[in-house]
Amino acid sequence: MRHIGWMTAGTIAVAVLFPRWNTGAETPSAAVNTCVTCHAGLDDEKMSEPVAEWHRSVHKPAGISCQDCHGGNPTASVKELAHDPNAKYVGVPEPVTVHETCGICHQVEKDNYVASPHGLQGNFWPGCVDCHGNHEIKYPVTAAIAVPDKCDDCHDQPVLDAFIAGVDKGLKPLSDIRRDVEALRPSGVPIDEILSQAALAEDAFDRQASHTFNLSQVHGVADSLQKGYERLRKQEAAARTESDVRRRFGWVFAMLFVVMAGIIYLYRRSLPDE
Amino acid sequence: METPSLKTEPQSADPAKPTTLTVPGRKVSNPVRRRTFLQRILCAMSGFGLLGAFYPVLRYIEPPPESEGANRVEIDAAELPPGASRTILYRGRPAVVVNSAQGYIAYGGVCSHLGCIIKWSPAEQVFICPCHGGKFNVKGVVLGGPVPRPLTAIPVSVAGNRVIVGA
Amino acid sequence: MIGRVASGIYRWLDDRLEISKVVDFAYKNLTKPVPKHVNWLFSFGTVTLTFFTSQFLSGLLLMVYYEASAESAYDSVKFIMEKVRFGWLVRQIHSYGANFMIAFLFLHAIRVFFYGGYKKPREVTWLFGFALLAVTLGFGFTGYLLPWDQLSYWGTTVGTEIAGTTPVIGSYLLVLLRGGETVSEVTLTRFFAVHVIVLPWIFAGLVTGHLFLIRYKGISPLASTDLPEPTPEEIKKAGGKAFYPKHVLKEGSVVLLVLAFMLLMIVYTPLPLHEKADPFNTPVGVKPEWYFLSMYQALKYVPKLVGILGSGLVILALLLLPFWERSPERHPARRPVAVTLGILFVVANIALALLAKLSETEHTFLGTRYHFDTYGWPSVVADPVLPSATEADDAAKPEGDKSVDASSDKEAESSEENDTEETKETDESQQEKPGGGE
Repeated sequence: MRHIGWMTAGTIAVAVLFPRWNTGAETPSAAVNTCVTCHAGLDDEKMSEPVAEWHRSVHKPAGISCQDCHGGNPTASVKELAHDPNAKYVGVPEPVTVHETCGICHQVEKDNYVASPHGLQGNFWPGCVDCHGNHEIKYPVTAAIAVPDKCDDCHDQPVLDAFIAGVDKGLKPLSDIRRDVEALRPSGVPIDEILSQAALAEDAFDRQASHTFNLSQVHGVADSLQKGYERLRKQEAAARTESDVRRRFGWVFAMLFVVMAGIIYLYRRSLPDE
Repeated sequence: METPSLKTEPQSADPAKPTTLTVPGRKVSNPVRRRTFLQRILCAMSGFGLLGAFYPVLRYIEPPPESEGANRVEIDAAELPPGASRTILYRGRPAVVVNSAQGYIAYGGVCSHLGCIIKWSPAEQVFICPCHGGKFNVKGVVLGGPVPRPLTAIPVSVAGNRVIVGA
Repeated sequence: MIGRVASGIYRWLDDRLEISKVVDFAYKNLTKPVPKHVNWLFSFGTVTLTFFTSQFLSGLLLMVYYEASAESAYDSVKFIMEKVRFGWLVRQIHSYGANFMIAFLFLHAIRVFFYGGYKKPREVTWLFGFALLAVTLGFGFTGYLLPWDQLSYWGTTVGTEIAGTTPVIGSYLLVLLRGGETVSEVTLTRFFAVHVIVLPWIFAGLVTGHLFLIRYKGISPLASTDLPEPTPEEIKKAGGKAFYPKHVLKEGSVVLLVLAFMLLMIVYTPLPLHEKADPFNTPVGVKPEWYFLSMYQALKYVPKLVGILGSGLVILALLLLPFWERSPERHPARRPVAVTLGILFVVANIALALLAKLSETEHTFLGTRYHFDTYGWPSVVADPVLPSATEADDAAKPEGDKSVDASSDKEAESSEENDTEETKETDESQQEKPGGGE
């Protein structure tokens, strides 16, 4: 028990860091979705593959499941009841109307798309799933969309490059700013205002440019947003500086206390024993 | 028995002259000088630490940076018929808007005498301050009472069926 | 020169008020020697007292801007953290300080137990100390509600619910604590009153008594209670140092080290403010703060009545420890039974708290994903198509604070995304349903 002091200090230090141990997600016991569990076990790959793809999509963590697009009853274990038309089951949506399905949630994109050259004028081709896929939907990035064998079947490469450049000009600064600001969250500096302004900017781009497939429109909107992005960048930089300043002063005073503790110890030793 | 305290005078005769105790093999400096030195260092560091504690407390109780408050207020024209006045919040302070015979007028509502809020008097067609009888005309000029400064005008405009106060 | 002015004032006051008598009495007590066996573990009490002082001062400052009404409490705390200069620092000192104070209080109590400091003639000191523990936990419980965020609201709901299971008076107690049937704005105001006036005065009285008793009786020796207590001269001869200045300085350096540690935690891992309280939405896996976790978990394993009575008995046993643990020995080496029981008690509490932390969460160990139920029992999550955590994370966009509510969408962009088409109303003004129709 000679080093009880050190052992205690070590245990305390470990215990204090304990809250950091719990990095696991607090999750509820998920209610079972019978679409998922049934289809996952089917032999026909055409029936089971979509489940695996959906597991890798962004819809899954967002809480969007099979019934949100295909209808049906996700709690029924009998096929006829699960595929019940009374439960709004539609099966595979018609290609010409697939944008209506996606448009239930993605209203702005749908409206812009219908008015775009790919929409009404283009007889709704390509549809949403032609570019974004149907089950393994990831967060759209321009690199994933304009790949060979997709847009370049009809469009020249220069046009595609200009289009991608426009979308990137409009959205990439935002995602960079968001990523950097989110990285500041653990430091405790206020970031909510920056994030809500970023959300407003993204909303502006979505409403005015997203899925319009109009090159000049996309570039025009992207250009008009740049000034706002500069402001956001400045705010992000200010927040980062604030975080750095806090940490620096934290270290200065913490070290001051430690050094003082040391000097007190020396001073104590210099006091004569009575 | 003398109990040592933080303010003890050094026990050696002359603190300015360092006496060195020679221990076989080592030169040991005066322990009292070391103690005083450490005392002084400690005082300095504690002083710095206290300052570091006192400064944030002072800044904390100072009023925080002003959030401006809305510098543009819109009122439905229907709520401001001719002759009527309304007191609104503009830039965090009361302001009075009047649909007067000369059109829409708006002024900062805080009387410069002692801070009471002015009212519009339709009968006399003047602004009055209820505290000490200050009177202002439609241009905000002081007509009477112990008022040092005239009212501050706020730009008003009309857009459709809405009255815009401020920028 | 300052010295001369000071002693001049002292003489003037002494002439009229005889303050030298008081000063001499205080000096005599303050310079009493402290036994030689007093090691660094004995600083825990001082550290706790330091944190109480810091809590008092930081709490005072917070009260300048805090608004104790359910409508504005959350916003006022947010205001303090974001707009008030150094507001973030004051709030962090108060939040962290609470945790540190309770932690060091536990350590102090454990130290006192193992060194037999509660035995004759120091039983009253122990009683005062136990009351201080109760008051401190009361501080923690009432203060926790004040930010009015999700954790505050639901943690208080769970806590008062447990109090409500007390037999006979339980339901009355519940309504009394909450000021109604549920946690509401009335709960906030009464918790605030208790937190800032009632408990501080009680604490001040108790701590004065506690400290006086400690200085008056001196630190307990390691010898058995049958032997007479050593006199100050004997202690000094055995190598004990004066309380002032040597011992004070020693503890002072410990205090400084702990403060330095807390400061670093404040700037590197500040405690967050969660989402605003939503009385209609209980977050998944809400639990009390760490200092209540062991009791919270223990209550799960037994029927309600057994749990409450059992907890009551344990608390009573701890309170009356000096009266039923009557072995005259103080030194831990000569009290094997007490020391063993003590270690078991501490380890059991830590284990229960760990189980509570694990309960109702999912973790991946060595490639397999386990779900821990409310008792802490693991079961493998049987989802054959489930990808590894990293794949799903790459697909998802950056997310905000997920510690309270894992299932809610916090991304700003996904305002249109919702669970099912049935629950979405706002954006459906112009939508046409797919094939199947209404």
